[in-house]
Formats: sequence, C-alpha cells, structure tokens
Amino acid sequence: MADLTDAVERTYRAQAERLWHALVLFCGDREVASDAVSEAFAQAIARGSGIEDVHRWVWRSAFNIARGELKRRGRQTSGVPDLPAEVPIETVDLVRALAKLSPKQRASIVLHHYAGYSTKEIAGIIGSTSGAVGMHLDRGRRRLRDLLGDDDD
Amino acid sequence: MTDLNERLKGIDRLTPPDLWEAAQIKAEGGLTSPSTPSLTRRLAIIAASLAIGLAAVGLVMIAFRSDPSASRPVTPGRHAVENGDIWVKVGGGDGETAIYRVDPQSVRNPEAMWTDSGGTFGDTPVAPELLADDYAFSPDGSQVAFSAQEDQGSGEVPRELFVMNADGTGLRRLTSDRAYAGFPDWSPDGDTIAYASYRGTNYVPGCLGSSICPTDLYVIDVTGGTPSLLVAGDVSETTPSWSPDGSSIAFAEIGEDGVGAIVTTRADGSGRVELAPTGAVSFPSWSPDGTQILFLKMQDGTNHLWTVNPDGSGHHDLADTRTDTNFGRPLWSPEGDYIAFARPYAGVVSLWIIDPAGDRSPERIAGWPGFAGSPIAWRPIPAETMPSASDVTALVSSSGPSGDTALLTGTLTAENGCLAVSTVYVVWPAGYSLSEEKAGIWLVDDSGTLVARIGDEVQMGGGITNLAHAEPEVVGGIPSSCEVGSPDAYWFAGTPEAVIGSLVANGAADMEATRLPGIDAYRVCRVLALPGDFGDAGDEVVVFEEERVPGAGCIGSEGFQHVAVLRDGRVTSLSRRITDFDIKAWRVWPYATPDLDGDGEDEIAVALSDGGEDRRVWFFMLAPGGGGVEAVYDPQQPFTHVIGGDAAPLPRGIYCDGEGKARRIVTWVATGAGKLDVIETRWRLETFRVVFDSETTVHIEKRGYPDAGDVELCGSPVSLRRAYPSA
Repeated sequence: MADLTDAVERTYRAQAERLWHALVLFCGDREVASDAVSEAFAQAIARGSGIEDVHRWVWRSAFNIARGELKRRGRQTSGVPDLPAEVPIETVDLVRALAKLSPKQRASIVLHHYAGYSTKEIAGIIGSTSGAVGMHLDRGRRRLRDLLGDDDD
Repeated sequence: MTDLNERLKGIDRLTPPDLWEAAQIKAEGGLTSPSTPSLTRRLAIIAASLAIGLAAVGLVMIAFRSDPSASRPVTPGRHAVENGDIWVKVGGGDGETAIYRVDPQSVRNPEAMWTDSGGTFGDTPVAPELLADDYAFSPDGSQVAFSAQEDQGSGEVPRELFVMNADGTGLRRLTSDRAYAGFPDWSPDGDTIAYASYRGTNYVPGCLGSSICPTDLYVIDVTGGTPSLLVAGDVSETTPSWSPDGSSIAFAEIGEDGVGAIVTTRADGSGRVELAPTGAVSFPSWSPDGTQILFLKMQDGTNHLWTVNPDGSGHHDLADTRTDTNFGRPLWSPEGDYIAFARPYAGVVSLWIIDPAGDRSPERIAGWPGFAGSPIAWRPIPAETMPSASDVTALVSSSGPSGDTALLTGTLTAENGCLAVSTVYVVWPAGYSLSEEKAGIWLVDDSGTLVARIGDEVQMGGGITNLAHAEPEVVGGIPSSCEVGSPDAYWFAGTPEAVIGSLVANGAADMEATRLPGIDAYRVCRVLALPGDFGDAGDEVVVFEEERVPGAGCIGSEGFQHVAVLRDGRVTSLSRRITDFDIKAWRVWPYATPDLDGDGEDEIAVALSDGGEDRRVWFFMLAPGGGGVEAVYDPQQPFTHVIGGDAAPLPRGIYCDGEGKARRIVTWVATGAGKLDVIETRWRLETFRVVFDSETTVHIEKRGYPDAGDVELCGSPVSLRRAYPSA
C-alpha cells in the first residue's frame, strides 16, 4: 500500500499541475478541475492495487470525472469561463470557443495541443480510437477556426 | 490556427491549488465512491471495415456485429433491465442501522435511505420497519421483498416476509408462518416468491441451520395466500435462487455441522441434483444469463466466491473474501456483468465488485469505517422504454431535414434474418439539442426485438449542423449468418469516405454499395447534407464534398463542395464546384420556386447554413434540368430559421435569431447572370407587427410590402398585421 501511495504521489508531483491546467481548459471551471484532480488521485490511492500505469489511469479518470460533472451540471450554462484576469484574453476566448465543441473534440484538442499527447495516447484517455481522435482533432480545429475567425493562416 | 498551442499555454498563468492533501483525505475518509469507467456497460462492437472499390475510389463500409458472449437479446415488454443501485446495510446489532444505496457508476457519495436512529444519519428518514434482512428485488426492480421481525417484543420473535415498493412505500405483509420465513427470491415472471421457512415451535434467533429448527423451501404468490411446500428434508434447505428461465431452483442444503451442498431441483421440487464441491457452502445464486451458479465456500479459514455450471461441472474459485465472516449472499449485477460482495479492507468492511470471469482484480467501491457493511441486494432498473417496431420504422426512414421531430437516418437492413446496422445519423431541428441520454432512440427489428441503441458517443459528425453521427451500441443478437437482403436503398453518409447511392445487405456484416450515377465520378469524401425531400415533384437535395487532394479524404483539407438535386434516384441537377463559399456545416432548406429569372425554366433555391451561433445562409439556384448553380446569395446574417414564402411573385425569407425572434425580412430575386439581388433596400420603410399567440414580441422592420397574412415564423404560427405609423 505504501509503495502504491508513493507511486501515486510521485505521479501527482509530476502530473497534477499539467493535468489541472488541461482540465481547466476542458471545463472552463477551476472548481470542477480541482474536484476532478483530487477525486482521481483519491481513487488511485483507494484503489489499493491493480493500477498498472498510474499516470495514464489518473488522466483518464480525471477527464472522465470532469466530463461526468459537466454532464451532471448540464452544459446549458453560459460558456463564459471562470477564469481570472491573469489569463490572457486570447486564451479566455479560446476556452469559450472550446466550450462549444463536443466533449471529445474538446478533450482531443486540449490533450493534443496543450498536453502534447499523441492520438493513440488520447484514445486511451478518452476511450476512443486513434482514428476517431484524428477526426475529433480535425473537426475541432475547423470549428475553432470558425468560431474564432482566425486569420492567421 | 498556428497559435493554438500558444493560446492554450496561456492557461499556465494560473497557479493550481495543491490537491494532494485533499486527495488523501478523500481516499482515507471512508466514503469513497469512485466512478468506475470499467462498469460502464459497453458491449463489444466489432467494426469491420471493408473497402469496396469502384474505379479508384475506396469506400469504407462499417458494420457492427455483437460479441456473441455479450449478446443479450432483449424483448420489449419483458424485464429488460440494467444495473441499478446496490443496497447496503450499515451497522446493525445493538448499534444504529441504516440502509444505503450505492451507485457503482457515479462519483456521488452513497446515500442513506432509511435509518433507525435520527440524527446519526443526517436527514435520513427514521423508518426502522424498513431495516430488515434478506432483501430481494422483483425482476423489474419496482418492489422488494424482505424478512423482518414484525414484533420484536414478543417471545417468539417470528420473522415473516414483507413486500414494499422500492421507495419504501406500500409496505405489506406476505406470510404468517409464525416462526421463521426468510431468504425470499422472486420467480423470473415476478408472480411467485420462493423462500425458506421453519414453522415449528422451537424457533429462537440463532437456531437456523441446526436440527432444532430446520427450514424447508416454500413458494407463495406475491399477492399472498397459502404457501406451498417445495422441498423438505432432514437438514435445512435454504437460500433458494431461481434460474432465469424459471425452470429450476438452486438452494443450499446445510446440516447441523455447517457442511452441506448446493442443490438444484426443477421448479416443482423434483429432479434433485447435487453440485460439487460440497463442504461449508452457502448462498447459491443463479447468474442472470443462467450459465453459472455463484456460491460461498469456506476453505483454508476464509470464505471464497465460487462458481459452478448448473450441471455441476466447471467449478471455479473466483475470489477470496479474506474473512471467515459470512456476510451473506454475493450479488450478481442485474446485467450479469459483475458480482458484488463484502470483503474487509484495512479493517473496514467494504463493498467490492469483480467480473464474473475473474480476469481482473476485485475493485473496491466503498467502505464504511466503524461499521460492518455488506451488500444486500443489487437493484435492477428497467431498460429505457422501447418504442414499437412501427415507431422505429418511422425513425429509421430517411427523411428530409427540419421538422420538429428528431429523425434517425442511416443504414439498417433487417430482412430474411439478416440485420446490419451501420453508421447512424440523428437529425434534429435547429434550436434543439439531443439529450445526452438520448432517450427514446432505439433500433428494433421487425419482430420487436431491440437490436441497437444510440451509444453515448454521439458527436457532431461530418461537419453537418444538427446531424449527429453515432456508432450504434449493439445490444441484441444479430445473426452472424445473413441472407442477402432485397435491394432496398438506403442513403449513406460516412466519413472520412462516403458514398451516395444505395446499399444492399450482402449476407455478411457489411453491405454492398452502388454509387449514384452522376455523382460517382467524384471522389466524395464527406456528405454534408443527406438527401432531403422538397417540393411536390419528388426532388431531393444532397450536398457533398469532393476530395480536393486525391487520396487525402476530407481530413486536413478543404474539399470542393457540390449541391445536387435528385429525382427518382437520378441526378437531375448538379452544381459546379463551389469554391467561393466556405460552408462548414449544413442544413438545407430547399425551395421549389417558379421561374425566377425568366429564362423559361423553374429554378430551385437551396439555403444552406453553417449552424452554430454564427449561422449564415447561402442560396443556390439550380435548374432542375441541369446547368449547375445559377446564382448564389450570401446575406451574411445570423439566423435560425428561414421561412420560404410561396406568395408569388417573389420568394421571401425571414431571419430569426437564436431565441426564435424574427429580426428582419429579406426578399430576394434572381436577376440572371448568376446573381441574386436583395430587393428590400428598394422598398419604403413600413412597420409590421409580428404577433406570437396574441403577444407582441418583436417588430419587424420592412421596406414596404403589398400584403400580409398568416405564416409560420420561427416554428410558431404568426399573424403579420400592418401597423401604420402613428405619426
């Protein structure tokens, strides 16, 4: 148990910050992100054994939990992200636009363009196939370009 | 989009909170109720891709076949059930007691339903009469039977059977055996309850299992009445469990020394079969699919979960409960995909689940520090109400866009015992969204058997506004050997490769595709709008995208877009490549209009939008006889509805915003030479009132109009009335 908790804590120290940021991008809500991170790590600790890859397990659980929480709260809410002033306005706009994507498109965009995961790794996190992730990325980017009216390409 | 990464990195300016301590507290605080993604029922879907080549074009057909081991035929009207909550009794003995329910798929904390002690369990209702033992749910989960002492103060302390609704209402007494009645189990048809009963006068708590008060098995109608003896013998026959087909009953025969056997008989008590292994065995439970019997067996000082085939073969040590305490019957999930049982964890009795094959380690669901908690029943919940086959026929039929009802379209054949389900699209009107639960969207074959439902992976697909692409979750048995179906045509829109044409079941899990002549020359990589009916002449409009870079599909590159008009399965009009408009997502409002430009031929105006909050509309004018796009108009206005006017001489449109309010009226007219002119600017300003149900909600400014009348506007009937300026 102690070994496992150590492994979970090591993963926490290495991943929690990036995971939390990714979840804020995904949900636009720091509270949901914090809940998802703490719940995912709590479950990893409580699970006791049987987690082969804590890193991957925690990312998958946290995104699952966050998605479940958003679903529970209902996505009808404004889409105005709960982000303080230190976040650049371009990022706030982007988070607002991300909120209009489907959860899988949004997760794919965040996990790829922010967290740097490959489509295969993303498929493992969001429960999909790498081909489908490629599609989510393509559609998500098109939709973002649409929403943001990008003129940089 | 080159700065997407940089923009995302702006979030790094935020400082995350330190959540490690919170995680530890949550983990050690006892009431952890992890979400268990592995519990999410996902029946295996085998997606077989088959490239069907016509010329150099690869078309991918995707079909689905259920995993035979996971196949679970469901018949409407029977008890099609899903996994509900697990009920757990916490406390007991001389201490406070409560019944909790645990949702194994939720992150919600377990919730106490009833308690015998106010205050300790917060606002939980104090209802000691509902705290009992041996809970058993009716097959549809609506009622629960249990064994309880009716009068704890009496010397005989008889235990009788009671039945209540699952919400605790409607409590009624079932037996009057005046000694002991326990371990009820409902017959699969829900009409009868089998139970263990001792009817002598020697009953005292704790005597069960000894020769002082041996129990026999009885059955009783759920409405009450006189019980019938099922099985009697010298030792205790107890803990009956019906086979799911209702033909047999498994139970434990236990002698005074605690040693016994798991036994099955036919439902009338005849045909006794003793199953191996014998020993200190207890609590047999028939699996929902009827293939296994689960039971507890004491070995090496602890209780183990064992399974055995109903014929006595194939016994298997599944898991160790790591305690010599017998916490009672391990539970099958109603779907049969999990087993719940109690096992201590760090000194706390916890609820665990394990898969019946034992392929994975048990997962801990929840624990209650300081309490002895054990699962008592796993509630089945009825599967979502399924429509009749006729309803589904309507859903499956490929219909045009718009309308107030969600339409299901895609590919489905169910003929001659051959069923193939492929990509399914759901179309719903603007302003609506598909609920995440997607209730009510089912596929049922001609016999009324549920074969598929839309899974929870509905996505915006194909770049089509209001068109969701879903991979159906196959939940029913699809015959693995299919006969070739009749050549009914189904429009198919796939991505990244696509076909516009007909599909015919070919006897395998895929289907033969024949592409529509006239479109087959194009490398279609995306179907942007499925064929939609319009007009009275049987015309349909389809919008598709042609691969811009050969072999690249539509992924990563913009294709060339086309609008085609079809009649009787033939292309009657096909636009040239539309390169001036970047149309992302689509909805089609086709208008059959008379000769707009005076060239002697009727034209067709098609409005396309890109959906979302930035809806814009384009109008393409096509001559039915061919000739491609004659005119295009991009008014650059957001809207949700376009009302096509048929009030000659000119078509007109009304834009409505996202809240269903009319913004303005625009009329347009073709001038020939590939252009449409907006003519509102040429008219004088007048004001019309738009009345919704007698309530004035918006004014429409409009430059002069000769008449007005009742129209449907933004989905509501509207009266247009001339309102003369007061001054």
